[in-house]
Amino acid sequence: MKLYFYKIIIAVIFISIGFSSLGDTEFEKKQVRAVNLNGWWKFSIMQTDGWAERNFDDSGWDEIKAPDEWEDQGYNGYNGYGFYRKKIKIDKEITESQMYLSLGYIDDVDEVYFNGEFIGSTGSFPPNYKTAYNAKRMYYIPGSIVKPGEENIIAVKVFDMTQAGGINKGDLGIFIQEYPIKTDVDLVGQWKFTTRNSDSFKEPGYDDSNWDEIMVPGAWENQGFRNYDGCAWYRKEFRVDKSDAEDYMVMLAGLIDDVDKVYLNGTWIGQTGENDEFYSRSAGSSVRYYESERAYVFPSDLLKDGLNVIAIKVVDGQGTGGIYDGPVGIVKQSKFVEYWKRRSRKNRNNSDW
Amino acid sequence: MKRNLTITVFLILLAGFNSFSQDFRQVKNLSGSWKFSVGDDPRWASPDYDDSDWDQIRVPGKWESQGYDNYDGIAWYRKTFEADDFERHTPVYLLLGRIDDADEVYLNGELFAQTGSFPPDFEIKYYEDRVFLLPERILKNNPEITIAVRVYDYFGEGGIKSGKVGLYYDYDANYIDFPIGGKWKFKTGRNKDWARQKYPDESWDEINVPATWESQGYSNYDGYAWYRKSFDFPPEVDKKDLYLVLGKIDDYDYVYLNGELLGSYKTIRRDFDYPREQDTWRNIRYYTIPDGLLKSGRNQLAVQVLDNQGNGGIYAGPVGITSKENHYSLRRKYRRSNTFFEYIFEAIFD
Repeated sequence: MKLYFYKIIIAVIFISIGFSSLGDTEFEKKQVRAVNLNGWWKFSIMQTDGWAERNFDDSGWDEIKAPDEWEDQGYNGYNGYGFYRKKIKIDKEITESQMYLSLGYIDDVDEVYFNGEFIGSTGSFPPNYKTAYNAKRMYYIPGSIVKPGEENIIAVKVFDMTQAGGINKGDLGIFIQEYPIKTDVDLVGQWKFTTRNSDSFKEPGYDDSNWDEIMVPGAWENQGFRNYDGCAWYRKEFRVDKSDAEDYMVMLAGLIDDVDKVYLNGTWIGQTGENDEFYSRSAGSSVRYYESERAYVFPSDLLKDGLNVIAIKVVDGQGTGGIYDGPVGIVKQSKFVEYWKRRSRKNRNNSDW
Repeated sequence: MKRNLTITVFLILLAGFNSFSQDFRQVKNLSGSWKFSVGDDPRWASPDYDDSDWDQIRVPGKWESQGYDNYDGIAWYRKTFEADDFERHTPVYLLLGRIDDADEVYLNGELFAQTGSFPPDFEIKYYEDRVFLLPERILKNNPEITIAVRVYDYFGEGGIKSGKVGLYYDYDANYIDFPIGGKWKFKTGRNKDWARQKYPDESWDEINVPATWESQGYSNYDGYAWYRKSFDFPPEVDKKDLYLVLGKIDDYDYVYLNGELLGSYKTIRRDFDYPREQDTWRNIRYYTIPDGLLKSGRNQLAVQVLDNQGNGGIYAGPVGITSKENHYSLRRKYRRSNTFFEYIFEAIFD
C-alpha cells in the first residue's frame, strides 16, 4: 500500500515536470536529434585513395555496427587503422541551425570528414601517438558543406593502439543546437586551445598552429582535458565583411566556467569576474559566474575587413571548465537590444499570472 | 575581489543606516518609469538621442525582476524632466538611490559623476547611495534636463535598484545663514603653503562641495588633499559669535580661515558626538570663528583633508557660516545618544 502511494507521488512529479516544460520555448535553447547514426556503417581496414570522398564507391566494404568495438564484430585482436563511412540525408531546415556530429567515444584516435571536407580530429596518430579514448567526440558541421536533400557522407578514420577499437560507446547522431538569438558572425566550431598561459596569446599575430583543437561550445572535460582546472586560452580566426557591421557590435561568448577575458585583434573588449580569483583551486569564488550570459559591446572600428582573431582567456576554479555553452558569435547591437526587449516582455507577461 | 566582497559586507552594515544622513526633502520625484536599453553606445548620453523605441522600466527596481533575468554587463537608463521650481531650494541634490554595481551619470550629454568603475579595472559600489550636488548652471540654463545613467553590473542583480530617486534639497541648509557650498578649488597632496590666504590656486582643479571626491574623478584616491574657497562676506552682517559649519568630512581635517588655523577634527573629537577617532567621518564640523578674523569682502577658506580609505572629502552638508543660535539648533538636531549596543561595545573595546 505504501509503495503504491509513492508511485502516485512519483507519477504526479513526472506529470508536473511534463506540463512545466510545455510552455513557449522561444527564449530557451534547444538540442534536437536531426539524424540517428547508431547502427550499420560501412567499414574497411584498408586505406584506399579517395576513401573520404562523397562519390567514393564503398559497395565492396564490410559492414559493422557502431557504437561497438570492432573486436566483437569479426576483427578480434585487430589493432591499427579502421575506416568508417555512412550515407545520410539532411533536410534543408536543419542546415539553418548549428549542427553537431556526435560520435560518442572512439578508441583511440580519429579524424572526421563530411562530404570529403575535414571537420575535426581528436587525439594524435602515430608517430606522435596520443590516445583520446576518454574524450567525447562532438564536431561542428559547417552549414556550407552540407548538401540538403541529397546524399551526404560521413567518413571517419580511426586508429586503435591496443585492445577495444573503433567507435565503441555513446549516442551517435547529428544534433542541432538552436539558440534564441541568431548571430551575424557565427563563431561556433573548432577553436585553437591551450592550457598554457601567456599575455602574448591575445595578439592577432601569435602563431597558434601547434595548439590543440577544441569544439566551442563544449566543456574541455569532454574533449580530452578531463580534470583540468586552471587557466586556458581559446583562439579563433574569422572573416568579416565590414560593410555589414554597425558602429557597435556585441560579442556573445556564451556561458563560461568560470571567468574570462575577451580580446578582439589584441584589444580587450570585455570580461566577467577577475581572473586572479580562481588561480588557486581552494580559493574558488562564491559567485556563480558560470551562469552569466556573456555579452560584450565593442566599437566596430576594432573589426578588420577580412581576417580577424578573437582570443579568450578562461580560468576555471574547479569542476567543469571552458566555454561550455552558446551562443558564440558576433551580433549587431540593434539586434541584441531587440532580442532583450522581446525576451523581457515575454518574462514580464509570464510573471503576470 | 573576494577580499573586496568581504569588506563590502562590513561596509553595507556601516553604510546601510548612516551613509549620508542628511535631512533630504523632495523637490521632484524621479522614480517611476524610465527609458531602458541593454548594450552600450556613447551617443545614448545625448539629450537629442531618440529613445522612443526603448523599453520602459520601473525605477528604482532591479532589472532582473523586470524581464531582464540573468542580464549582466552594461545598460543605460534615460529620463527627461522639466527644470522648474528649483530656485527656492538651492542647493539641489540629485539622488539616484543605490546602483548595482557601478555607474556614470550624464546630464544633458555631459559626464557629471561616476561611482565605482567600469571594467577592465572595475570596482563595485552597489552598497552606496548616489547623492550628487546639482551644479546651478545646469539648473538655470536648461528648461529641460536629460539624465542618462550608464550602469555596469558585474554579476547578479543589476540596475538602479533601491532608495530615493529624485531631486532633493537639504533641509539643514535652513540652519545656515551664509552657505559656502558649490565649486571649490581642489588639489591632492600635502603642502603647508596651501593654507596661505593669497596662495595662487587658479590652476587647481574644481570640485563640488559637499560630495565625495570619488564621485568627481578621483575614484580610489586615498591620502591628503586640499580644498580652497574664496568668498565675499557681506559688510552689513555683524561678525560676532559666528560659526563655520563644514558638513561631514571623511576622515580628518585642518581648517584655515584667512591663513589662521580655526581648528581640526581633534577639536571636534574632544567635545562632540562620535568621540572615537575612527568615527570622525560621521561628525558634522563646527568651528568657532574668533571675532575679527572674518572680514567684510574677500575671505579665504583652506581645508586640508586626509582620507584613510574608501570615500574621501567634504562629502555631506551643510556647509557655510551661521549664527551661534542656528549652530546650536543644528547641533541639537544631530546630537547623538549611544544605543545600548554601543555602550556595551565601548565598554568592551575602549
